[in-house]
Amino acid sequence: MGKIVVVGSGASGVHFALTLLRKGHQVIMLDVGKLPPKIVSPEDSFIDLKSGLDDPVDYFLGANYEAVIFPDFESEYYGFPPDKNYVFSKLDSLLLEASGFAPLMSFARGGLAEAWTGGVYPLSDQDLKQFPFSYADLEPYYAEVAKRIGISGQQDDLVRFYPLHDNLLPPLELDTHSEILLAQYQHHKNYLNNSLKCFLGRSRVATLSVDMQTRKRCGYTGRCLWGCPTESLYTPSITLNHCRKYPNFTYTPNMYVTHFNFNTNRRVTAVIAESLDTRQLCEFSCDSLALASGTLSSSKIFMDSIFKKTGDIIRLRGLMDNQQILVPFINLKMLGRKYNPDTYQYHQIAMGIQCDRYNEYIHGQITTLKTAQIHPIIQEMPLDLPTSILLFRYIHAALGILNINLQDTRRDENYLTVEATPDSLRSRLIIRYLPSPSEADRIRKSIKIAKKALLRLGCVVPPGMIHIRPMGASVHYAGTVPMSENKLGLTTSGLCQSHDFENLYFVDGTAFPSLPAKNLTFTLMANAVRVAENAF
Amino acid sequence: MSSLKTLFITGGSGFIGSRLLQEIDPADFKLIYCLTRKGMPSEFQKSKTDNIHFVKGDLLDPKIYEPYISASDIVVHLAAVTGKARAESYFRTNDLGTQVLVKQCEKFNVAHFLYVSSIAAKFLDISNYPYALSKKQGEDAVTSSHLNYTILRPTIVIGKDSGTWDGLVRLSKGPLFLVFGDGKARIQPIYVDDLADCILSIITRGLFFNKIIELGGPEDISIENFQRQIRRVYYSDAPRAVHIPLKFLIPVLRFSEKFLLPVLPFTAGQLSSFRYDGTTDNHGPFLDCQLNMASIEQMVTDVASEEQNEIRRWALIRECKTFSAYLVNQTPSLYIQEKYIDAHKKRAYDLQYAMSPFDRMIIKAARLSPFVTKLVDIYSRYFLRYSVFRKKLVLLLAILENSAPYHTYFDSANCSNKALLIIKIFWRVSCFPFFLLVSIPILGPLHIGSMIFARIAHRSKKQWAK
Repeated sequence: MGKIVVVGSGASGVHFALTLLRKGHQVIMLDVGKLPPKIVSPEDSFIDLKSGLDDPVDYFLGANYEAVIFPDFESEYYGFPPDKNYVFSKLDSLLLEASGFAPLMSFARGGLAEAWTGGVYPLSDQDLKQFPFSYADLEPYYAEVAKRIGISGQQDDLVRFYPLHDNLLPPLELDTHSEILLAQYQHHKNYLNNSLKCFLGRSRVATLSVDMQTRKRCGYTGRCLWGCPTESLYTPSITLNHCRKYPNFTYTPNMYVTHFNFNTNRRVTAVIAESLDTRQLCEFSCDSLALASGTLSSSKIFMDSIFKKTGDIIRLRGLMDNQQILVPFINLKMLGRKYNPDTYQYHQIAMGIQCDRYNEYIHGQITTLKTAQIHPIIQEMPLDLPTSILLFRYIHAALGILNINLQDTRRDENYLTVEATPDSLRSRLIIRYLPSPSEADRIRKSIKIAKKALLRLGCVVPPGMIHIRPMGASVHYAGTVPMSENKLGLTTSGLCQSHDFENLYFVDGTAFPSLPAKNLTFTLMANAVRVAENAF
Repeated sequence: MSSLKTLFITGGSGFIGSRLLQEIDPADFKLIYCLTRKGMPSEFQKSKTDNIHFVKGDLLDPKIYEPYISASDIVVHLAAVTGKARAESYFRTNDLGTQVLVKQCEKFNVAHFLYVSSIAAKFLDISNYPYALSKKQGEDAVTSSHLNYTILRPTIVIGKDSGTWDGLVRLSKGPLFLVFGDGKARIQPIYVDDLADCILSIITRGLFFNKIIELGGPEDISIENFQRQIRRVYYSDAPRAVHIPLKFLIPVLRFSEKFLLPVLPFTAGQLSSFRYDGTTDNHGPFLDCQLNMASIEQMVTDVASEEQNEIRRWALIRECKTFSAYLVNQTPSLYIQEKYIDAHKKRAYDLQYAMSPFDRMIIKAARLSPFVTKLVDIYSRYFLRYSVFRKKLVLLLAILENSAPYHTYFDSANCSNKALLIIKIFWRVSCFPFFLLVSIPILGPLHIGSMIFARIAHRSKKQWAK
């Protein structure tokens, strides 16, 4: 059995590696692998932290107060907690320039999903229309991943959008706010289903509702946003730790992969990585190479490898990302109630809307805001701050946010390329993104339907508070070297095998030919398992 | 047996003493006793106090400090009455106090005695300068003892919180540039940290030669030029000096002191520094040290910036207190105040550098009271949404919501009576337009005026650049 090098320890990389390890392959994983800070007081609840820590401001706002969100033109309703800064911390070795796109890249051990919200939604046949396989082909791998990571959910109206796979755990305990929303949905189901084509149900989350092996079920301490202290919320570093128990696995952190070498037969022979400890280039020979470092990084490695060998600068077209819209709302039935921070903090309810105008599915996740920072919301209220605080105290329990995701398709005007720099070791990654001409209309239409649906659920959207996030903010990047049945250059086979280099595989979003509205991480993991099972 | 020595310091909380304690590494000594009138100073770092003990007492009450003197190897005598005081007060502490201390040291055979006197003790005529006379008499008490001593006569000592520095700044910063006398008297300022270093060096190297050592900074300068250096830190102008004749002023002051001392800005004796040269004739063992001492320009800049930082710090504390009263109707704890100040350092780009002149003005006004803060907040919500003022309020809000017990203020209120809730909300919300209408005519014209002024200034700057 050959030696397989995997680049990146994110959601795709670790599940790809684990599948290969179980089959007895020798796997070397190269990764930058930035480590998280130590978990603070794992037994304490969110409220206990505020009163129990010696320096709570340092924990919640960061040593440099980086989590304070000041009034700004583009300020968000919630930022990343300081404990998760390592997930998005930059790397000096990477140079990039972006236009129309706000890229986020991770060099953390476990990748971007170390800071995810755990949304796991299988793609339906309609979502997979442009993929060279159907849901039935992918279903066993969804079930396998569900078995590995633990997914809570249930069969409800959303099954029409999220097919039901095996190994689903019972759903998590609902908070009062979400219970009321679901009750309202049942009450107005006819109108919502028939007039708006809007469906509500439990979201599928990679959080344990029951104990699973060494991982404990969710303790409802309210610390989800601040980093689950008990590993109930799945992150890829859990699977990485599992992989590291295999004798045929070598994990090499502090390695920034710059390119690969290939021979005249267009076979990858070795991977070149810069050691971040010594700043020396290291060479790792391989029989096969799997790029799993995320669409931007994997594409850059691919382009740089061709550029270094041939001098050709290529352009990878079709970059995709989900447009995200944040719609804050107030649930009138929750006004004046006491909020309970000791509950699950991420989305417990999902919303699916079939939009006829664009014949597309609009995906929404409803988060009932409880332990997010208060100051970003209060500063946006149209009153002076003390009055806003007073008002906030009455509406705190009633606040929620609907996070809408829109699908994206591959378009030639959105591309990645590289640019030579005076430093021969490094090139600059260039990202260009232009929204489609119908984008503004799609957004408007989606907001309109969402507002109508929310109103029917007894919620009002405060004027002027809807936030359209910049492209790149969803961090669901895909599509630059897509799967294609035709053996064209700069594409892959149905098993994500490059048509340019026969022993090169793209096991992350790079090979996705379209980007459905649903969060893609679950499909990334399932697809990586599929490739590992069938191509090796 | 340990070779570490025990130190007894008088005036440890004073201007020079506090700097000396900052420079000292307590690990170099077995024990350090500090005799102060008020016990341990609040600003003293507790972490440093493992072998530093503060003794509350008076120099003239030897029974209190006798046990500590008896256990000490070296005595550093810094305690003194300086600045503006009655003659009796100078003599009580500087002369009599020194005599009592010297006697105690002789009684318990203290090995070494360091007395910090003043360069004023060598002025030509000190008969009308009680401070200098008391210091001279203090020196005599030391020199006539059996102790193994060193007497230091520092020149004018410059540092934050120094009375001399404050007086010179007041003279130099005012609309009139006042200089007493002809301004030609020469001084040789020494930075307080350099003086503390030299004292430490005498203690650790055992430089006790039964001598008087004069100690000054690396440069000498006329007093008028020194005042000009101070002015330059604050203003770019070079005004003509207004000289006040000492011949006239000294007799008037001497007469007035008898009745009006509390209201006089200074005494006749203090003006002697403007009359006689205050430079050194020798440096004894510290000639080499002068190379590393702060130059006049360095010390003036450092002290001024240290003072500015202190002023800024107090302004931020006041701001924090007012804003906290406005936001949550509570006094901020020391923890909140320190965090607020720290955030201004860490996010200086957002909170300091991006400040417009109008921002500066409204922040100063808002510090005055929570009511003014309310007016400015309401105005800025619509007309200065991204201003530094609002950022400061949001910063404090963020700190408060994450600290106990303030975070409970943001907890949701349980209100089951919806009608009452709506009335409450309606009342609070309806006050907002009223205050907005009040704030617009007050702040609006100033805001527009500052924008016009900024645009004119920008244009003329551009034209000048061309």
